[in-house]
Amino acid sequence: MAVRSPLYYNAGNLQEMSTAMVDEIVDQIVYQYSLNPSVALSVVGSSGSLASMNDTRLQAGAASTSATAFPSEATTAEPSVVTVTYDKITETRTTVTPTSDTGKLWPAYYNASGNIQAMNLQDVKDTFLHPAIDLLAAGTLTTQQAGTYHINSSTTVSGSAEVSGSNTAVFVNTEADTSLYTAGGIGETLDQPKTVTSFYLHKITGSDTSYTLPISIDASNNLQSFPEATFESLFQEWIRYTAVSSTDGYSLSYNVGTSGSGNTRGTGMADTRLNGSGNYQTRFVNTDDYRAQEFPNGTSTTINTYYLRINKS
Amino acid sequence: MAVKNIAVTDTLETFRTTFNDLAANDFGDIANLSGSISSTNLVDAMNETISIATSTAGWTIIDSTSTSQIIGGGDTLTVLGTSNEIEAVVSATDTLTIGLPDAVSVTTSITAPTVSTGNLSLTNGSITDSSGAISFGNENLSTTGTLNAGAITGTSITGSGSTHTLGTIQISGNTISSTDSSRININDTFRANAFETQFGNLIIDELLGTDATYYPRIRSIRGDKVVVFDASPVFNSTIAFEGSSADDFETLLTVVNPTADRSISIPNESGTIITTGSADAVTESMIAPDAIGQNELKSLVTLQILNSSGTVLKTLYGAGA
Repeated sequence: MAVRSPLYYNAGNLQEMSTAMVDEIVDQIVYQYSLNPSVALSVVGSSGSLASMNDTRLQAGAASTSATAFPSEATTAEPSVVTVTYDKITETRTTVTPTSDTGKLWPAYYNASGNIQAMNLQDVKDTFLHPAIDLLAAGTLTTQQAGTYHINSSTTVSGSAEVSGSNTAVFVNTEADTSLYTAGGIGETLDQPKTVTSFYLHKITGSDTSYTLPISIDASNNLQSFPEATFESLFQEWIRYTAVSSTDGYSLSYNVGTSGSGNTRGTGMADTRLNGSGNYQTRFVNTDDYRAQEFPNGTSTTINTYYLRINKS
Repeated sequence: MAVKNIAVTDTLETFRTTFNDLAANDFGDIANLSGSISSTNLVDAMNETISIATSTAGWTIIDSTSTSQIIGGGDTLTVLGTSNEIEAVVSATDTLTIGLPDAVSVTTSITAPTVSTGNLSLTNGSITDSSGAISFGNENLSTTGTLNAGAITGTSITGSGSTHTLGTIQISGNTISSTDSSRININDTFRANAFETQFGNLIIDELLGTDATYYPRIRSIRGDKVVVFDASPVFNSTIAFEGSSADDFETLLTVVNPTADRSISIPNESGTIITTGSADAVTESMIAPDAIGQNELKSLVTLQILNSSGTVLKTLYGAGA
């Protein structure tokens, strides 16, 4: 672990950056990542690459009919569970080939011998890239996680953009709409759900934060402040590469499930369901038509809560 | 004298020449006849002479002015001298001696090829003395001509007129010059109170110092004090600059004894010479580009620029605290 303090040009002098200044660069790297995330999620119709989620709800049992008397509760079919699977989130990982270090690629720092030395890749990882990944992989939802995703039950979230672009929910929690079931309507449609909550995938929008450009060693072995475009392009390449291809524990990935690795992102997607054993109702149509049916009932109970998680590994 | 004879057969020319010779050499020229003789032909003259000789025992005396006087027989001839000039002495039996007195006084002049007195001889253009020396006592000698001498010695040699020449050295007033050259050579030490150049712009003299000793001095009396050295002066080891004030303080320019030929060039530029005593004097423009090396820096510190592998890319040198 070799966290360096890059040098920067300060009114004619070279000065080591403070921790806060390094943090500003890390924030800028996060912003660069947000401009073109290499680990991207998208909303698809089906067969998403992430794990699927099940929305379950009760539906009424089938109605029973008798010409002589009302079917008993025991003989009337119990409400059953309807399961709808949501498999709408796909992760796309973009392969990146970043610029190789030729010895003078990275910012320069003041080494222990009192000389100015270009950082090596490990220095850059320890100082910039891995802290940026740490931020990206955090469970919070700020601009320091720009370019990463979270779940929200609203289609609009300040500081984020709905991914599908058409307010397509990635998970909808439904329950039986008990108000729709009436004894007079026995012979009711079995599955009469209502949407309790829809969940949407959002991407956090980046913020182009200010920062101080560090010193680098140019082709003539002179010192110069990094050209801004060069610096940002270089670090965008490398944060994207790291997020996809890190072999030392800093690649990003997403998963969905009731459990999993990483930090949860956004709202948990609860699958709730009424927990009643059935609301036995009868209907006298005529002397030759006695009906009975069990409607969904009970209180809403969480069956599962799914989370989108971001994981570094 | 032979008898002249003209033969019958002789020619008229022979006659003419013989006759002329007879007239000129045998008879003589009548013009040469004594003035005491009045006759105009040879026979009459001879007769007149016989007459005189036989009539008296007298004779004639004539002086240098052709004044003559006949001394007749029985007459006395008195011979007198002139005091301090000539004297006449009659002595037996019939001798008259004409001579000079011991002290001769000549009123006008005396002429002789050579005049000698003692060892001294005066002859044409020459006064000599066999003793090898002629003394003029304390008399003044003057000549309007030229005095040529092997050597002239004396307590004082004074000339008159505007120009005097000794050999080819000419003295005119207070000016000495050469008559055959533009240069006078002095083959010995020449000392003067001061030496000045043609127009007096350069003076070499000695300056009496406050320590009562004399200091050699070369000075220019030009307003700008310029002395042009079209030469390569060689000094010993030190040049002293008095400065604007003649006092006890001088700036010495001294060279360490060179052990080989050295060359120090003064550049073609204006400026002030920097010394080890100068402080805060060397300016940026005085230092040539690419001229300062790491060894010239005080308390050298280095700053290396390394690549990411630790290889030195560049080393920066600076002066330390």
